[in-house]
Amino acid sequence: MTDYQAPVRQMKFTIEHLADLSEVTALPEFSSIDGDTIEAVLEEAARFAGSVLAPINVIGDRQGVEVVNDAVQVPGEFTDAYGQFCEAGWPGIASNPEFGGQGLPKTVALACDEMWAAANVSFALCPELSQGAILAMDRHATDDLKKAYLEKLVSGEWAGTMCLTEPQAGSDLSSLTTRAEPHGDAYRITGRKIFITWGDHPMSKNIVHLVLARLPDAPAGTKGISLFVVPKFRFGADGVPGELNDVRPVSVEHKLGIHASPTCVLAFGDEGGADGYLVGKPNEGLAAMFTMMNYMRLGVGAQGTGLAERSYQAAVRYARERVQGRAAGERGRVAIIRHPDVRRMLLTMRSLTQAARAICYYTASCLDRGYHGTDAEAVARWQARADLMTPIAKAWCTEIAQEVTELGVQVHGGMGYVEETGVAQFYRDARIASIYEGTNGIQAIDLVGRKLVRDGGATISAFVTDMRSVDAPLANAGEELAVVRRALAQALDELVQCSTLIT
Amino acid sequence: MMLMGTAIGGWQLARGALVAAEQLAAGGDRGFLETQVVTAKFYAEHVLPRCTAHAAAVRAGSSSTMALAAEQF
Repeated sequence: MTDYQAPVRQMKFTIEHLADLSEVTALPEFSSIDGDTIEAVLEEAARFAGSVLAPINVIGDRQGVEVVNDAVQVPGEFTDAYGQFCEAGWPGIASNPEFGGQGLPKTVALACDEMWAAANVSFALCPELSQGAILAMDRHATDDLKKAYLEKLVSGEWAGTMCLTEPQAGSDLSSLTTRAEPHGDAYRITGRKIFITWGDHPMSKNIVHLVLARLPDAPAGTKGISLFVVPKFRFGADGVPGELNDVRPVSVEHKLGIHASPTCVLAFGDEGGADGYLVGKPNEGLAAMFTMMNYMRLGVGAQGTGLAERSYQAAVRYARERVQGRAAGERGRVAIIRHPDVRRMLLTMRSLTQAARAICYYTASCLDRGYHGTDAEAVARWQARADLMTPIAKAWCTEIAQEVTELGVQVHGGMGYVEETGVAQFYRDARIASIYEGTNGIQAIDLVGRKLVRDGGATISAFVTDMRSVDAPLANAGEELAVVRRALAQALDELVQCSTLIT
Repeated sequence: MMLMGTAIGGWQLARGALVAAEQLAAGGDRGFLETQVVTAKFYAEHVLPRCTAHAAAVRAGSSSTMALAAEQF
């Protein structure tokens, strides 16, 4: 079995120097955040991830989940860990303080997300989805709905889900058919959703489904989709959840990885309709859902980074212990970390993982500066850069997670293919990350078809100018960094030529 | 997509190497800071060249990708 020790020092270095922490803490919203606070949060999160979440990762993989009597059962260890997670206040670290959150910048909270995913990605998905649901409701729901839901979601007492996909509507949401009929001051939701992560479970007291559906008079296509909040337990007259709403987990999928994360088929309205409440304006549900999805996409990038880090740690440990073969000019056999090919693999893993981490945290920092800024021009600039970075953070970091976790298996040789070493699980668990939250192909379309061209290429040009500004300091650093300077200049030239072709 | 991510990753590691070189010169912790510099150099030598290959594929466009009819697969 493999341990996980969050790379707190590397994370802190990345947050401070590569994600421009000082610019984030210069925002009025985050003026009280200092280096000590961040270090304390990261240390505590690292302890929780390493001692509570990591040890049950393999239990979840082996035991999996099942539907028994219309309810999903998960390993008992997961329910216990979720209780501790909420007790420690982790679900709401980045949420609005108005509803009990701690209001930390995403730049810092994302490092914690990376740790949860590295330790136990199946578990991590549950609070991750809640975070997305909180954000979508905070930005788009009425005050009454916020009052009824947000505190419970922020505390983790309730969990959230995101219900988009239907059998005929996956990457293309325009063909979704779930219906919402007005019923008093609410709606009755009927339809079937698939691939609903943590769609049912006993870990929280209630589950808050955010569901895309069509109103009776809605236009066809994506312009006729609205967003509804559908609780697992209906609210009684006293405002307290009581009887079951009309939502049922039909089955869970048998999957390549993330075995402890229940991927549900959910039936809404088999008994006449599930009570649902409109979030945002009618027919503008997709925009509201995208608030959630953009944050989730960055979260998936952090998952890829976390799994890459976990696999790297296991590979380094194994390469130090495993004695095999000789080193040139030496007597006796040596640990395989002495062999050049193993070094190549370990450094590829390490450098890709660090680059992925820096890309994710930087994207979070752009989001923080875009959302919480006070100067309109700066807000627009950082929001545009965050929009550009989001598909890259999602797709690139999950692509490299495939490569890194695959190398993690390779470093272990035959033992990597044996489940006992645990690295095969990281490889399997990472595989979904380049598929869900918009496949990496969809991310590429978003990047090339929208984000690069929408302002005539101004956002990418400004970014390239920023990136080129390291050339002078690299030149001043002399021979030591000459190779970095040359390779970066060439890579940026290639990037500019290609983006000019496109824009 | 891969071209951009690989290049932006290279920019970030280069920034990290610059900070680390500065802190090293000021007498910072060698054990940690040297890893930042070496990791950035490895990435520059062994990963960043992928950008050239990605760029060649981007420039080549989609004509061969789309040349076969669906039933020819």
